[in-house]
Amino acid sequence: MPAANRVANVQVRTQGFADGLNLQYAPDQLAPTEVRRAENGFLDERGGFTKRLGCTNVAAIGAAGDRIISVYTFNRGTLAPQLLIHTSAGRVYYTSDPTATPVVFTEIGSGGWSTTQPMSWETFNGKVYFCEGTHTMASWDSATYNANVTGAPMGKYLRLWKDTMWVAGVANQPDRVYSSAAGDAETWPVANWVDIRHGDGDRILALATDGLYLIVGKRNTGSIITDPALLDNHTFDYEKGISSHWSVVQYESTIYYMTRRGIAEWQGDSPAHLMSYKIDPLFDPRVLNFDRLEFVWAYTYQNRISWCVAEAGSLVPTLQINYSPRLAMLTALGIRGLGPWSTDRVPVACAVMWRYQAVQRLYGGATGANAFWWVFADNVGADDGNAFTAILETGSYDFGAPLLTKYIRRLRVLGRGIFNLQVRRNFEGGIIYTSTVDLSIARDQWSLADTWNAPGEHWGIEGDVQEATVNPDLYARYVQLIFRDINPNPGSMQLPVGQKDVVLPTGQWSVLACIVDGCALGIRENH
Amino acid sequence: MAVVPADIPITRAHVSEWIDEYNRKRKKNGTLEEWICHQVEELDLGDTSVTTPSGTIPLTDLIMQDLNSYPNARSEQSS
Repeated sequence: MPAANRVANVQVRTQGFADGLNLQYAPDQLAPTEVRRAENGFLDERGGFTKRLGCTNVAAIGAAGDRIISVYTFNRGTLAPQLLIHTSAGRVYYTSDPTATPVVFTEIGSGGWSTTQPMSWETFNGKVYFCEGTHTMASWDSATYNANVTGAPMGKYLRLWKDTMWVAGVANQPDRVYSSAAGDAETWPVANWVDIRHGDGDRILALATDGLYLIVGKRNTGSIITDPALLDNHTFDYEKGISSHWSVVQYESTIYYMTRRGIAEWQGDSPAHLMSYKIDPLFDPRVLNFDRLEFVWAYTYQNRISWCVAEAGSLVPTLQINYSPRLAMLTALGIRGLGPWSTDRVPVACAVMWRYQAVQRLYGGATGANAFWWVFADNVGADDGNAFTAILETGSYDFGAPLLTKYIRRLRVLGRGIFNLQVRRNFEGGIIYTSTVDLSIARDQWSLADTWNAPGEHWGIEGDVQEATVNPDLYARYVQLIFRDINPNPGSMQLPVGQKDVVLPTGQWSVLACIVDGCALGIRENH
Repeated sequence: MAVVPADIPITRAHVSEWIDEYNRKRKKNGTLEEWICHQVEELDLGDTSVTTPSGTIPLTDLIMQDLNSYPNARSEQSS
């Protein structure tokens, strides 16, 4: 008597995306918590992915062709910090209130600054000192401009270390670091200089400090000055240097910076550790414009660090490489492991945090306009009116039976907002299934006190996180899930704070998990 | 007696002024290097040498090695 074989039900549930981007592994080798693409979104809740907020243009700067190439927050004690910007027209401006409408920028001096080399800034003795290698060093005390700090070397890079101002990047002196008199950035003793790895054919590209040492980054090596009086120095890293002065960023207890091999983590007086091996393939001259590594700009925002980099073929930053140190797991010894990586395409060349009283915002310079932006602005879903796409693409799931064809019956998604769920199968290029998933909620307007005589019932505001099911009805051996944007509007999420739920602005959507449900069939010729 | 660089009482501003002065009167004063040495001698600092990571170096040698970091000296040297 003929009988049908029973088919085995199979299910796979995503395990969160907390390990972020992995470009180093083959497509079939990703861990369940890694993804092939994670762009324009935050790995904000461990395991979740939320589309980023957009940017608001808060001021036009100079002429239409001008671009902001450097930005700095000049903190002034209890007064509102000033934001200083340097533009490609060779001009420097300031504002004391970037939250005003409109923001008013006033020029400092009358131009004459470099149109290509970003400004380096440091605050010392109540003044901000700035230079870029073509103009005499200047200072600004929030009211008085001094266009020429007499005798200061005309360098590109400034750093304050041990109560002393340090300068490097002087023309014709590629190895030389200068220091001011202790406690005085306007007096420069004539013999206060030292050559780092004299005549090695390299040049200094960055000055940084961990407080203990002055870190001097050349393109290919890193050195430290250990004594500010005797200028004693030695090399700590013979393999990699620091590619950009503005790529150096301190986050919690660690210093990170860009090298030609990837993002490095400062280890004190020993070779820096490369942190970015999972995204190693990015650091290739066919992917990034290595000629612009010199101008890579870092900023920190919430739980992550971002480096603005130019891709091959572009002279301005087109991509942010994001690292989230706080999402790294702690080992049994309390040592933090590697955090996840992701990317953004925020069209800004430089950005800096501004904080005064209750306001804290990230401001930056747009790459495509003479515009000063509030970056990741509340309740804004587009970049100055231009929609952008967020995308999360998982690895390939084989349900533990890579040879068998599976019938995919349903996909159940947990998240927020509206997005497209797509499926790619068997490492094919095309998308074989697309469905819009609407997890948005209609907020009720009634009072919480109004129970409509229905206590104890399931009665109340809709949940922050929603579920939805779609029925793809498809056959595949490997399934790859893609979550992609279709909506330029902003979204929100609820943060539970004791008895309250605080609504926080986010991008349009979040994805937290997806369950793939189907049944295993036999071995088929196709799919 | 060797001193540390920060103890040298000459600043880059002094040297820059000397270079400006030389540029105004250069036909009377030999080379720029001779002029700078003369100015240092005028200060009567004695046999000043500087302790550097590369060893003890005469002050005038240190100034000469750094002359092309002064924009006004660079224009002189290229003329």
